Amino acid sequence: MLSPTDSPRGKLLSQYVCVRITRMDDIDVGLFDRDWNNTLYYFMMNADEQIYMRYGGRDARSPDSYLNLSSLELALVKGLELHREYQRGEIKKTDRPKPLFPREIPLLVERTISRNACVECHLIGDYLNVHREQDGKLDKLTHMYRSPDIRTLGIELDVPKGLAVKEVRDAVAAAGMTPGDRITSINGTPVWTFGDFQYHYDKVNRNAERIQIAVDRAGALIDLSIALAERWWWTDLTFRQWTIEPRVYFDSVPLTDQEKRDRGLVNRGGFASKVKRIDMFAEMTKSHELRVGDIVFGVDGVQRDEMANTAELFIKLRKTAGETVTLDVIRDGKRMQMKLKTYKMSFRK
Amino acid sequence: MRKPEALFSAVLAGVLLAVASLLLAQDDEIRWLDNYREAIQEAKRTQKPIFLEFRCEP
Repeated sequence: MLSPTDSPRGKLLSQYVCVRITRMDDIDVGLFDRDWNNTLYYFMMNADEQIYMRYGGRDARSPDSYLNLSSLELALVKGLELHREYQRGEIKKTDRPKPLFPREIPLLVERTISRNACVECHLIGDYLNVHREQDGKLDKLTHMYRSPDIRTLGIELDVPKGLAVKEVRDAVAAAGMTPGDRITSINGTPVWTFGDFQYHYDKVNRNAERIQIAVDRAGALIDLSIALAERWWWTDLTFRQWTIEPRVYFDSVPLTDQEKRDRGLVNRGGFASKVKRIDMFAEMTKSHELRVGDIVFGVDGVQRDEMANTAELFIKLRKTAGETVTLDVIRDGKRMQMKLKTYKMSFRK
Repeated sequence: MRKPEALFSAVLAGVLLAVASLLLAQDDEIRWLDNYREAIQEAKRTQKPIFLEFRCEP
């Protein structure tokens, strides 16, 4: 980042001690917990290791959907303000989270640190999940579907202005959020940046039915109670490097209730879905023989699931990467069965 | 001054100017530490907040 000291950003940065970390080996990843699939992430904090705010976060569209120099400057200004409040004793110290260092993650030590390879951020996230899976503690909704997309709630931010809302739809519109509002807290936790908001939104229990978001509307603080839609936690995983995610190499769309009835399929809760795209890896790996237009209505004899609305989501949620499953399929009106082998994502470790 | 020498001098002056500008620009930029503990010590000494960047370098 080129920031001459006489530029607005440079003047702000010169009031901070700036430090850039490119290797995570000696970093307390418990203190700096975050979504580990971000290649760039910032914290504003102090010498007592109290974190004022985060800056960063991304979505499936791009690594920099929410990174913007104007919003960074706003965050830097706020960080200085919070620091002054902290120095005056106006901000209470928070308890330090349980420390966790990369050398305490056995698979990371075995496959990365002992080979003197770089402890890349995404490896921390993936190995933590692999250990959770091995220990039977992996909650895929929380640990695999990280950082739900706030646009699913209906929020479109005015990115250069930080947490200023540009457009509203769906759940937040129904709750009364309006363009021009500025989000100030989620479930009672103050948020200053998209990074803060995304981090704390990710902490919402996946079984929650409502969240509370406060907004500043022309100086007035307004509390909004937002009803969460079914599968609000679902988010596009394609940019992530998760070895815990079974790769199925097809996409499908849920059948409507009428389409299910027409085919004599399980209606309520049934995950029958129509294949809309076959990934080229399916052909390369011979993982399955599905075709566009096929209807997948069962997996290993199961046709309904409380969480999944498509066959591929059912496999991702309920199966382990590398497993082979049997699909119940309708092709050209005829029912058939076929095997599908799931894969683990392979990447440099 | 003969023509080749004048050209050489002009090129040399240009190069020196470019190098000087580059050095000045670097001096003018923000100083980034690369050690977390050092940043904590520096923040204690200066009473400044810390701007911590985590960057994944391929």
